[in-house]
Amino acid sequence: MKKLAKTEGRFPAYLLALPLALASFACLLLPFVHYKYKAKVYQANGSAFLMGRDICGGTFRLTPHVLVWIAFAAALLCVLVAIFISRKNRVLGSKLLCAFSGLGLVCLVIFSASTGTMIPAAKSVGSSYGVYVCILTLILQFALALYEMREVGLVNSLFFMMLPGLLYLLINNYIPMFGLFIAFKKIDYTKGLWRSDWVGFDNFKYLFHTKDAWIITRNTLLYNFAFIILGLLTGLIVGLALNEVFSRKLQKFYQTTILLPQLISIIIVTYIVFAFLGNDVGLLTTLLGDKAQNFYATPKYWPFILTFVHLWKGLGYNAVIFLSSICGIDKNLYDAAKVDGATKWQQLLHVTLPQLKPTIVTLFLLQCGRIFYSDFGLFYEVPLHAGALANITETIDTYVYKALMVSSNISTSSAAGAFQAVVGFLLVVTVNRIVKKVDEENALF
Amino acid sequence: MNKKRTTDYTGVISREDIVYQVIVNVLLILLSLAAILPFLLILSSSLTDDYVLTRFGYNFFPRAFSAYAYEFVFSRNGAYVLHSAWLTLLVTIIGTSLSLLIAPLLAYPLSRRDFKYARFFTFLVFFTMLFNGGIVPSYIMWSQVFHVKNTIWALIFPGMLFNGFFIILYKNYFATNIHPSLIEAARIDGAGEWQIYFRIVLPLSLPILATIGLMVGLGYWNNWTNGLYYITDQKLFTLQQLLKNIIENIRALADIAGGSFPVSEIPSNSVRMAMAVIGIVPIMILYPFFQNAFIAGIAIGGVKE
Amino acid sequence: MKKFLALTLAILMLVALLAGCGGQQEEAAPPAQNGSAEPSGGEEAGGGEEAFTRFEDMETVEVYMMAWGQWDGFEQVAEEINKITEEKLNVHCNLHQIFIAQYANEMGMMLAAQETIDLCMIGAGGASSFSSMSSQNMLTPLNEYLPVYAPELYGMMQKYLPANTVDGNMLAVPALRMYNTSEWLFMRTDILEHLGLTEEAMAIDSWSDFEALLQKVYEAEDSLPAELQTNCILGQQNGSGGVIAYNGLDYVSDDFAGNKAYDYLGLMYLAVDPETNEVMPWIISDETKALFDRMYDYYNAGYIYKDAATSTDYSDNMMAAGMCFAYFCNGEYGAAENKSSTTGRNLTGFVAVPIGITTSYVNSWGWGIPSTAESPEAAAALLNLMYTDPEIENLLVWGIRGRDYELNEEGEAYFLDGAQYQGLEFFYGNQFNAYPSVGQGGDFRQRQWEDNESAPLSPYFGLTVDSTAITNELTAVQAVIDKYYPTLGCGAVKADTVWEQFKQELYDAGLQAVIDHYQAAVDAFVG
Repeated sequence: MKKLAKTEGRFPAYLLALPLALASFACLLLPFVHYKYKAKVYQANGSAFLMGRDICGGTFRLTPHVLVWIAFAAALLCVLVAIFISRKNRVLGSKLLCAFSGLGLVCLVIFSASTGTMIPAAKSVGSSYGVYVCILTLILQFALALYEMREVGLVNSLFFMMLPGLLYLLINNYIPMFGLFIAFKKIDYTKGLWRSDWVGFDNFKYLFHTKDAWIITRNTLLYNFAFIILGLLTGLIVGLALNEVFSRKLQKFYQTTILLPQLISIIIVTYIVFAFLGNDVGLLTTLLGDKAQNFYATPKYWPFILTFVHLWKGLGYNAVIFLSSICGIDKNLYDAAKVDGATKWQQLLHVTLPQLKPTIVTLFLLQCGRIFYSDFGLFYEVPLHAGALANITETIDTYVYKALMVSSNISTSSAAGAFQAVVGFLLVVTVNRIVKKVDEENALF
Repeated sequence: MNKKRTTDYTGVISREDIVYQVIVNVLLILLSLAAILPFLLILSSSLTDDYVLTRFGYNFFPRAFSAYAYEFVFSRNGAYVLHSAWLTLLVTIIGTSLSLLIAPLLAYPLSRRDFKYARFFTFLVFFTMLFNGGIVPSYIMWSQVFHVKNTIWALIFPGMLFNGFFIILYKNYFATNIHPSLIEAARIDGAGEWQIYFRIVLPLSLPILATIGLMVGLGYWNNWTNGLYYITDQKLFTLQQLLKNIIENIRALADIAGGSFPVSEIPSNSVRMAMAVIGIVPIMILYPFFQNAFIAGIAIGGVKE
Repeated sequence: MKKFLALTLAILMLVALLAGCGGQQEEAAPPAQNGSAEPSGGEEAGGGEEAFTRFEDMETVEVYMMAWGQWDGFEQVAEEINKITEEKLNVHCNLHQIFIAQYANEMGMMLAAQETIDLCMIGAGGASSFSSMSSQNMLTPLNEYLPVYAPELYGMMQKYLPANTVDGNMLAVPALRMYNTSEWLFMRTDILEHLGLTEEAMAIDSWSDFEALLQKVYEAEDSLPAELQTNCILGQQNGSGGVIAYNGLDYVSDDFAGNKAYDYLGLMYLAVDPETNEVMPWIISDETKALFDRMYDYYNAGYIYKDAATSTDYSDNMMAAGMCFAYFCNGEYGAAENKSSTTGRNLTGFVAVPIGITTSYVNSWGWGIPSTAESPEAAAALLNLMYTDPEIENLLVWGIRGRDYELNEEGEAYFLDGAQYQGLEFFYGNQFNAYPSVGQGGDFRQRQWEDNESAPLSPYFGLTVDSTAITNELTAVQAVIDKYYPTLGCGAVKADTVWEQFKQELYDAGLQAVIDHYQAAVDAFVG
């Protein structure tokens, strides 16, 4: 018998689950889906999706929809939990309420999204307000469950702080993850996404078919490795430098200017690079006169050119991140070091860098996860897709793009994305494990 | 706020300090030049007569001055460009404000060592950085469930509000710079979690808020991918999307049609440069004002005890 | 407890109220029907006595078109069009304009999300190109809709529909426009006149004549006044380095009259010999190599644009900017006047090689009814009207008379200053129904039509190859071509130095598989 002092004499909140669930049931009488058949608009209410019905003049049978049944069952279970379980064990009751209402909610949301193609015989099929009211009651149910959990002490304010952010991540990142299945299907537009055929790993084959697969992967990895190391190094140096500047005005000026490259889109960067390196009227070509090289036909310069362009563009961000971290370092530490007679250089080594270690490690780990991705604009646009440079500037992303140009098949690009994500993930987990062994606190998870 | 600060609060400037200053300033001047010069190149070529530009290439000083490129952009598209700039600014402000409100709220509990589920939720957040369902399921969800297509919300929510990277950065900052003793002290005084967050944690985190606010803001300003899929109504184009569309349209047409459209529409290089300038200048003008608002925290910095 | 009861009752009442406001339910018993399930308003399909005229109930059609600019005035144009369609067909069309730059992406996305699109433009490459849409089943076969709902269109396009027919399914209707193209050579009139070479230029009919002229212009370059100076003598044709088109064109003979054009089946590196029906890897043939060598000589002599291999500028851009003296390009009837007005420079031009009508050119622009269409019959009827009604065509191309354009005495149209909407000739249904532009002549459409009709149809017209089985090889081969072609095509590199390597890499990438696949398709087509 778990009863908490706070709630004695107060209205047991879980009882509200009853009217809410009743409201959900009542919603079944409301129209869930509207459609147009023979130029007239009709509505089908929730009960039609539970029991099934003949519509469209008998030509189409609306079968009981599994998602609506699950939502119905979830609401029912909420009632049962509220009546039987919550009285005795509020903790368990609140968890179950949360789970069931969440389940019902998700099912109904998916249902509302998939009504478009539900009735092939009719036109203009869409969700009607009934679904939305039902979703609203389930949201209230879920809120009630959360309130319950708070009452029993399972969650505290910290948890509620995270809610808006988590909600956004759920909507924006987690739900669309279902799209990964596209990588394993051959999309036939007459059948739509859901009913197209499964083809296993066929869509991945083109990634390995080319005998350049090794070159492409090598390019991607080596460039990213250089970018990560050099990027962190230069960002660190510039961040430290910015911190040291005496004059406030100058510091603001520098901060503004180093962010300028971020604003210049990669296409314009392409023109600038061409302005320097072009054969006809390039600035560098004119300066070098007779010793001018045909830059766009000589691969050996490009790793440096591309690295330079990448660092130039990304410097501002890294520096500012480090600067803000440095600013947050406790000034007392520096004072203590000075009292011990440390020089500036020693202060840097023994105070600043150790304090920055978490930031450096975090940034390193985060970028490791994206090591198989590359900046498409940088590798495809800046070299002006010159053929001679192909071997040195081709990365996984440019290869996928070229394949897309030939076949514009979303399954293949989805497969490439899945591949990049999986290998990146494995890499991060591995590196994180290593970091954990060396220095537990700084590991990402 | 002191106009000048000394390195060790004692007012004594040593030789070491001077050496450091020289090195630091030289480095930063070089970097600033590397950043400004290309921009000047763009600016000058946008003001160069196009014939001269293609014949003689880019130059820091326009060989033949001509404001034709800007006339071209503003004359036919004029009202749209201004409207677009205003809209983009609005979206940037709303989006950045929302982001600065919600994202640190998510990150703060993750940084608390006494929060039971910190590791679990950190992993949840980090996982989103790696796996991505692709644009198609996002589109289906945002446009069919939330109906944001061709509304201003399509420019604010899909993919832009914040991402795992920023959350981890916030978390890091909070964990390193907000000492648990502070929080303990506040709790003993009877403050609740929300009060601790708004009264103590946020004011101490101005540097990171300024930094990430800046990155989010720039992200909104530069963004054109959301518009590419969600916006087909011209009145809702962001600035970058508008500029890009104008150029790409003509390029696509030239590739396909090989002729049969008015020469005045061919976007010469000077027009492309003018569009780049138009995309950069508003934010460069506004940035110092935001700096004033935020950098107060960076100047003071550190823990005040 | 009271509060609890009150709350429950309140909620129940609210819900009951809402339920009462719900829309009509469908009756349990099926209502009386007039025969088998038929689209509303349509008459019997085929074999009926009455032809289809108009729909009984108002149909709505969602049409998606490309826009090349921002036009506030389009709304009024759409209203005018709807007046016509509603009166004649009882069809209301929602015309959506999407920027070309976004079109392919947007179409692909909307179809993947299964949104309703009844009629859409096909073209612009990427996800909205015909080859892409047909291979992924994005289009509804029109075989049953066209003869019933678009009989005039069906009759008019009989000759050209095979270009968009795959495996017997008519998947799209090509936009009716100039199909006959040729490879043209253009030169700047002002430079020619200044140097007194006009007559010689007009008399060019062989490569040697052309080279002689190029040399004269090259030597005279320094003496030209500033406004006639150019960066180079010979500009490139397309944005990927080629000075002259190679796809299936044979320029071996010195005489231009001996130049030949083969059908290249949409792949720029193949060609089919009509006499033997053999598919050849044209890009590595001796004829092409001879041409590359010729370009190498030109590049070394200094005629060709130094950055041709990397420049993405289109040939018309280069001419408009005054960067080159001459260039090759693909053009149609009336190209000289066309290019002169496009580039703003007076051009003298003539045909180097006539190409004729090929499948890939015809099916590159058109209209299709996607698989997510809800009213395909109405869409077909609308299409019929678009192709046959000059009023609709002129509304789409020129806009609203008096506001956007005016006609002169000869029946030519010109855009007014401050036009709020401008369309493009070849975008919409029937180019020949639109008013001609100033300078083309009142009877221009008639002459254009005759040129089209008299042009030779490629013997492989109607052959579309489904290449999904060899996508991997196609991508790989294209990557190799992209690697070597730009520098070979503009003569920056001597062909001999890379020839063997080029051939080897092509075959390694799977060129033979591509050739075999296409050969099988050709054999099936011919046999």
